[in-house]
Amino acid sequence: MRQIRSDATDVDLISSLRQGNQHALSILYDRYGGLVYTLALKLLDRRDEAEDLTQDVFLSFWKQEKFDPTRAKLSSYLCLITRSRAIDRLRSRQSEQKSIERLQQIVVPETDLPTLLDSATQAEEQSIVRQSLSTLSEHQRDVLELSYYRNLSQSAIATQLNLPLGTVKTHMRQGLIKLRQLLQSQIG
Amino acid sequence: MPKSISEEEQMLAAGYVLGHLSASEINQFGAALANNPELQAEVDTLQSAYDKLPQGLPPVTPPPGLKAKIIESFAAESIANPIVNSIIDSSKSTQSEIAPTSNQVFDWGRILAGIGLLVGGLLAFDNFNLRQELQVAQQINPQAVASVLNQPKSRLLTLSTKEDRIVGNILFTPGNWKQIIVSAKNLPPLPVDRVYRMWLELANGQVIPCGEFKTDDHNSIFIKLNATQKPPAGVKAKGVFITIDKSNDPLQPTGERVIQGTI
Repeated sequence: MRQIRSDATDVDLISSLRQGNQHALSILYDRYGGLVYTLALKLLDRRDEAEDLTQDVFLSFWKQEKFDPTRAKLSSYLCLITRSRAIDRLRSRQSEQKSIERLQQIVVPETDLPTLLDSATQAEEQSIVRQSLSTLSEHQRDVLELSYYRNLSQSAIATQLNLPLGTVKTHMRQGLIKLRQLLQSQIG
Repeated sequence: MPKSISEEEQMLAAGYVLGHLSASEINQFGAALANNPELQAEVDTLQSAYDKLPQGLPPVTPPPGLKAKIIESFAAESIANPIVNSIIDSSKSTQSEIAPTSNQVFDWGRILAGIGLLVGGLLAFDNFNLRQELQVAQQINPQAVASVLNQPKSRLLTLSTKEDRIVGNILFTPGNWKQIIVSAKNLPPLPVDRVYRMWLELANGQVIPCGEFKTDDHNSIFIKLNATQKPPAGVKAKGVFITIDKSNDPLQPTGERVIQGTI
């Protein structure tokens, strides 16, 4: 087995990790630990739970043999897993959530995640997404973020922003289409 | 947007991804998707864009100790890897969704039960290779692992080759070198007439033999060794190293050090 370099590809690192190589895990954590923790904290809004969820994600994702890193981007997969498991934790917190009902409908794909920014590094990807989001109108950005991070339904978003339901729907759809176009323009 | 997709279809695709469509719209759109690969590709790309949202979050630095905690938990899982992982894998259909957390990092009961099952299973067969593996498996008494794990001061130490390739771990309790659990994979191949020997190195330079072993057919080990002498009171251990020696060589740590772990 050759020594793992810190610039090894995700595919090589996951392969090594599946053979029990903890240095591979260390490199993957350096690469994606911040992203997973940031998302976990945003969703759960508690540092202790975010820390626990990050640990959970890193100790378990590589065992999912259905995940094929040659066909799906690891950063996307980690975010999906983080969000999916955050749902479980929010559910266990109980009470409120109509919002959770919506999240429960999210299916976490096991393979073949679609391909936007596949060739970008993690830092490049973050920079591109941030820049693209800043180009959306404030309403478009707000409704998408309320949908993703707060798990609010369209009607809940309409109430929160004091906007007609139809306007919220339009902002969300147009915002998503614009984001998709902006991201795709970065690779085309 | 592909030219064959209308603006209306694209808005519907976005609504589909965002979960905005009514039941009848979903049925209608689902039928269109089944017959239009470009529309399906559009849905996939929109879903991908939505899934990229977290990449736009202002990054928050994880707590400084989190990485070490994750690596430590991973090492704890790996300690029983060579033999136990196959047992876990075989029952993966029921276990795949079990995710370790800080409170439930490793189900030792399950592992120890698995080791017992393995030993029992091996006893049922009678061929040379299996008997060889059985000898290794019998050396690692599940109670030995449990007793070391139950020690509040038990520690894991990473074993690396000279090239800094991590090959495994040892589990031990500082000050008590009677039970050293060794787990390693992908060890350098051993010539037929050679054995591995493990040594405990003390801060005062003294070296204590801990036992010798050969790997299984997959160049792996999962065994229990013990230091043949008790370290002098007050002298701390510096680490362990493993040499390759001829089996009839005198018990001196003069062989090439191929693997080591520093405390």
